Amino acid sequence: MAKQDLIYLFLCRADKRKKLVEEVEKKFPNIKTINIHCAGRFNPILAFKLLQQKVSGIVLLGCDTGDCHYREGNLFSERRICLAKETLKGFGLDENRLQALWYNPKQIDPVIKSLEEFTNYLSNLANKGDSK
Amino acid sequence: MIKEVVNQQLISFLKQEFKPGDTIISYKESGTPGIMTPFFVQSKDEIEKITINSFCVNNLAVYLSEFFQSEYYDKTKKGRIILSVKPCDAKSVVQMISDAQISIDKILLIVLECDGVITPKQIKDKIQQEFVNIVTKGNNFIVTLQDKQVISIASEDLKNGKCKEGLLCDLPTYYDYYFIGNEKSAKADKKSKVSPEAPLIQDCISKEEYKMMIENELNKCIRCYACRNICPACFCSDKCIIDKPKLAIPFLDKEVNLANNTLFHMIRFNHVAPNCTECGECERVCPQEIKLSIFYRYFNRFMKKEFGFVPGESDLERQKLLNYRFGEELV
Repeated sequence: MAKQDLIYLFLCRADKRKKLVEEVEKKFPNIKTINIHCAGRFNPILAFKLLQQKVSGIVLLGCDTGDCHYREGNLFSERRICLAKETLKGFGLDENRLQALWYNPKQIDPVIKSLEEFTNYLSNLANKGDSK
Repeated sequence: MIKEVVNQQLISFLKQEFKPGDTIISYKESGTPGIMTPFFVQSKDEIEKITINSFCVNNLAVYLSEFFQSEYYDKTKKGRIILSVKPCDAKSVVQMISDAQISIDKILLIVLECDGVITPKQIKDKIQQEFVNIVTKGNNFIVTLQDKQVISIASEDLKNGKCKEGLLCDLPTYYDYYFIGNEKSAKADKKSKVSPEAPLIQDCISKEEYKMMIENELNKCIRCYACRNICPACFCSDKCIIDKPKLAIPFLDKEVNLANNTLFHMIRFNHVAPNCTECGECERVCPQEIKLSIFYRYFNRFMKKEFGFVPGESDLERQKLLNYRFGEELV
């Protein structure tokens, strides 16, 4: 197996996502999970900083629309991520290295599935020679 | 060209309107030909010194946020700030009102009739040498060279950059300002001048070429932060994240290299994009002559396309990244 890409997974409401965190840690040893209180607290400039270093992908996992514990945190975050992706694109970087997923704390399988897709995408990039 | 009538009308208007305690922010001559400096007037005798001509390039809106955030600002004090600006700078002021950075009842906004301004650099590019003196006469500039030769240059030959496109010249839909000059003819004139949006550089060249171009531009940066300090949209003053060396892990290293420069400009444009009015001050002020217009044009076009929001158009519309209302359409 080729050298694995380092991915940071920021997730909100970690107390309700304990099962998911366990499963992710078991399945993907290259993913580091970081707990934040709400997806709305995620600062996009942190993503820029991390992507410039050896981190090759960043995923933000937030609650579904209308499900936010703080009412509107994920809605703010959605707009911020939209601009952050455009910033990456405007500076000649790959905007798909920053991903945002919106799922309920109860859902586990779709998250795992999209994480798999994301790792495949990154390894494809690495095979092309576009690695970090 | 800004007409000479505007200067006289402004001075007579200010003499009527000025009350003790007020501060006027305007321009005066600096002593260097072709360069005007910002001028702060606090007594009635100094109003005569104000001069408005075609070299008034500075965006005076920067001083507003500095004034309202300073520790000397006294809310109980009666004086207002009287600000005389060009239409493009009026947009910056309106955007600052919409961002709740300044209180409306403390300022008096005067918008001047303007038909494009000129920097000494444009003239140097045109005549390819240094000059000693420059004066305006009607629609022409009369330039005295170092060997006492006198040349006349028509103003139409010089216009480039932001004034050529005329995109910014339309007035904001803000009700509370005084207009010096002929407002009706100015509005009609500007409407006919506004050209269709020019294509972006990003659309014209391939990705690899674009990446090379950006790297060349960002390699030039010496991180003097002049672009941040001059920007009326960058109003965090002492709270700026790149000014925090006391953090356990400083967010941005002091070392100047491509990676750090890119990170700095990414942070700046990510913060400024929602309220940038494309005044072009960052590009004018850059000592390394980095073409920052590549970036701010790109982000403004994106904001307009994705969020349907043009900064500085109205003081009632809130910027989209910080304000969410329920029932509003999602992106």
